[in-house]
Amino acid sequence: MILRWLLPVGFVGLVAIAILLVVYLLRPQYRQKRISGTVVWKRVVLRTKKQRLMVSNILIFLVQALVLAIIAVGFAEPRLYSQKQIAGEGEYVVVLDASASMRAKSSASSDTRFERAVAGAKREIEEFFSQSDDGTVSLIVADAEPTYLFSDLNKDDEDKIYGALQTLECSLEVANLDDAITLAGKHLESNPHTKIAVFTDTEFGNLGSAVEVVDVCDNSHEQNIAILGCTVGRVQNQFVFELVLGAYGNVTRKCNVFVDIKNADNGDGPRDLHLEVPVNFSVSENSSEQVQRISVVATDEQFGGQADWFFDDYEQAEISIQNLEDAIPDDDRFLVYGGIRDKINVEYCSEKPNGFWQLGFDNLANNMSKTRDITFREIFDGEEPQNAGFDFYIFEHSIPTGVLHSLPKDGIILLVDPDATLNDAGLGISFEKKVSLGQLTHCTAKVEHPLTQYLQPERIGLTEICQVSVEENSLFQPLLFVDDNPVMLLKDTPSSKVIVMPFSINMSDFYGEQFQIFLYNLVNNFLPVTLTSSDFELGDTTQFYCKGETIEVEHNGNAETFSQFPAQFTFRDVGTYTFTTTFGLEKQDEVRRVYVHLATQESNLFPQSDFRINLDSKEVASQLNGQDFFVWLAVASLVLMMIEWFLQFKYIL
Amino acid sequence: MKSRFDDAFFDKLERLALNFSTTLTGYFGGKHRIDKYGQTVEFADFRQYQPGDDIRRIDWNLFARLGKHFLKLYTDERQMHVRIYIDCSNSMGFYPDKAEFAINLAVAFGYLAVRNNDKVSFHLLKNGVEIDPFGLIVGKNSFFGAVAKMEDVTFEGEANFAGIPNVQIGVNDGLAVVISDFLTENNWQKAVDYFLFQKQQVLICQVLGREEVSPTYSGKLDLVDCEGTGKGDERNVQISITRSMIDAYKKELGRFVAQIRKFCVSRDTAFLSVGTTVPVDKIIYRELARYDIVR
Repeated sequence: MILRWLLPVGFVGLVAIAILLVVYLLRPQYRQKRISGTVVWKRVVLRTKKQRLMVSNILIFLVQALVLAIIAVGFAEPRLYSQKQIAGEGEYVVVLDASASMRAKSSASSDTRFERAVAGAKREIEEFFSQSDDGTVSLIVADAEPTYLFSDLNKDDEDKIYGALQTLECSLEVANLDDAITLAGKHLESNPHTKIAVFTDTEFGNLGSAVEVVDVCDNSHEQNIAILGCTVGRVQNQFVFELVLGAYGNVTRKCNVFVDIKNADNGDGPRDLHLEVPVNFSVSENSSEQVQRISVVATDEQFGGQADWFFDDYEQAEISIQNLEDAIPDDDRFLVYGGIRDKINVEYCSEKPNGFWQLGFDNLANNMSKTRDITFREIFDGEEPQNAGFDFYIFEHSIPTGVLHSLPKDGIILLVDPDATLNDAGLGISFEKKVSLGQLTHCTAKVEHPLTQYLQPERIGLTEICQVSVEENSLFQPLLFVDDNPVMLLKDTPSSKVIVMPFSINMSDFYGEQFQIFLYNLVNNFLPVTLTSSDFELGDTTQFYCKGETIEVEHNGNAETFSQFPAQFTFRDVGTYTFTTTFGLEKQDEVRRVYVHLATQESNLFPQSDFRINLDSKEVASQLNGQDFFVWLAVASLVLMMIEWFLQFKYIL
Repeated sequence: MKSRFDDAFFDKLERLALNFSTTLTGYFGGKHRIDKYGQTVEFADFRQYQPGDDIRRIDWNLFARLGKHFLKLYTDERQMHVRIYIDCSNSMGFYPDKAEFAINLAVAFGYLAVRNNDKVSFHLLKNGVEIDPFGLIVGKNSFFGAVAKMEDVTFEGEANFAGIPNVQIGVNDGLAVVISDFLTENNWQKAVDYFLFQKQQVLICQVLGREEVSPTYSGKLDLVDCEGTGKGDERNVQISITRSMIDAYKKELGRFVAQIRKFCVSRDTAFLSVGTTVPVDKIIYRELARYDIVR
């Protein structure tokens, strides 16, 4: 290690030691004087000391407070800034709105708003350079995240500027104009002569004298009909598409909406359907809008005359409209996926069956009917249980010999109140003997796990359990206990998922509310719904879950794989995204698709902003040139401490 | 030490007399009239005869006119004892003029007493004890003899006022005059209380030197008390004397004197604070007359 002095001049501070020495050496010398009596003088001294003490105490307090204040200020690391008048040349900052609504095309000139904005910006830049030889130009593209296309370029870079403008494309996202204008406003802080021009279709309030808003709308020649959204529901046992349509601009005519349903299934096999619905719009005023909600019902006629025909599932529905003069064609098509619910198959096998399992899963099926289709199959006497094709396998008391040595590998196995025959299953866990607890004994939970969340172990009472011993490397994790005996164990590996409950449901009170919560956790933990919606807006961020080990998200040939869940994903493009779930169990991959459409607000041809900022030209701009004056604070602190010492010293004397 | 008194001064004093309280009883044979009736020739009052009264004192002329027996009463005049306590400590002798002033003042009081046939005794307080070098003085001859010896009085040690009660004095028989600068921590109040207990009339006379009233020294000084043991004595004061400190001293001295006066007022005792710059005769004629101590 090497010791170095960054500021050797600081040693000048050692002069303070010399000052201290002088103070000590030059103590006052008193001359002796005999007088007749010192009684009065003693009284004078006492009275003076009393008065001085009061003043001295106040002074000492003030000095100490100042020292503390200086130390506090020192910790805040103050910097000294000076303001300077910056006399620079003019600047021109262009903000180009690149939101999806800027793609609106005029029926008269067949150019889009964005193209008009780019052309207008180019004209303004040319004019600026014709008036100012030394001025600089910056251009901010206002899309979801505003960025500079170029910054502080002068007349010498004209080719570069116009070249960049030619390659510029409008995005499909929602523009963050507020941030873009704020970014442009920073130029005003450094140069009060900056002029800002915002080329946009959004109507702003007063943004200040430094900002010029250029409206690139062509109101009289623009109109747009858009599919703003679609939800799928059932009305009187019929599948219904609830469409939300919006019309903007001067639209006074009839328009057809087409609904193409792929693989609609009523149980007799899938078939494709084509529905056509006429819609009348009557928006006569420019800059106005009309939003209509329509229900598209599959009538008997459309189903080939079968009066009772309705479909439970469908694979995909494509909704589109035909409008030849539409300004924004990107919002004329909408895809609805997700008609197919998650199918969950449960197999229940017991030599002494009870009705709790059937009842529990039936309740669950009702509650989850919107997202899941749960089927419960009980194996009766004389039937052989299956060891494939189910999501949950529940074996109570024992496992039939046929399955014992070839346990299912494509689902989650629940072993309830197992007997010693299961010791041969090779699970890494052995069941020893049944122990009567004598009375209802309640469970405890020593670890938190999604499978036991919301459960109240103290409300689960058992009277008899089966003692189990777990092999060291068996990967079983105990979740619930009774008197230190595990009564719920979980093995959760990619290729094997086993839950062991070594107690009889009949010998417990685990059949009511707590049992239902357990089944809910069981399904949600192992087979969660991948996505909560089948359509999203561009720019939306969604959270998704996984039933298996990984999910691959694919769009237009680009794929991204996730292995930590819940995961988040932000949609950056319009179209269909495919979520493919891969299982560690021997199951087929699951595919889910979602449709990403334009943000609803972008279909509005005449948006308004409530952004309020006043960007007036400033006379003085501040230039930050921070100067650290820690040293001065230290000196001031030292001086004050010397004064405080002197005051104390004087008082003692 | 030379007495300032000359014949002219004593002549002036001839016209004055100490104004004793009429409640005093004193001794027979003096010139001071008291509240009681006595055997002088000066008529005072009549009183109805009561059994046991001396029948020789019945006014028969009045009996002849009124037919009732009345006694004729006469005033009584007594001799008083003036005890003069002089502080002969170092502080009183530190400035010669102050010592001379104190002695002269004591002599003046003594003369006023002997001139009216009163008894006088001088009590010198020094070295912590009380000395009575001249004994009881009656008459001018004895007095002047004592005055001549007063020139040899020395000022030493400290005055112990608190020791005064240790010496028995008479009751209700005269005046006690205490002459001192009172620049001491000694409990002189105890002596005053003793005098009052013995029903004495008391006069406290404070004498302050010129330097004590208005100090002329300044600078950073280690003030040494002349009654102390020298350097290191706890009475010494280390102080930086400036003009403002001198002003503070004068104010404090004023408070100090006021405290003595307040005490004297509380005990119904006469108090006089004088500086040596004022001649003694002026003090006698102005100050003492103003306080009704002489008439």
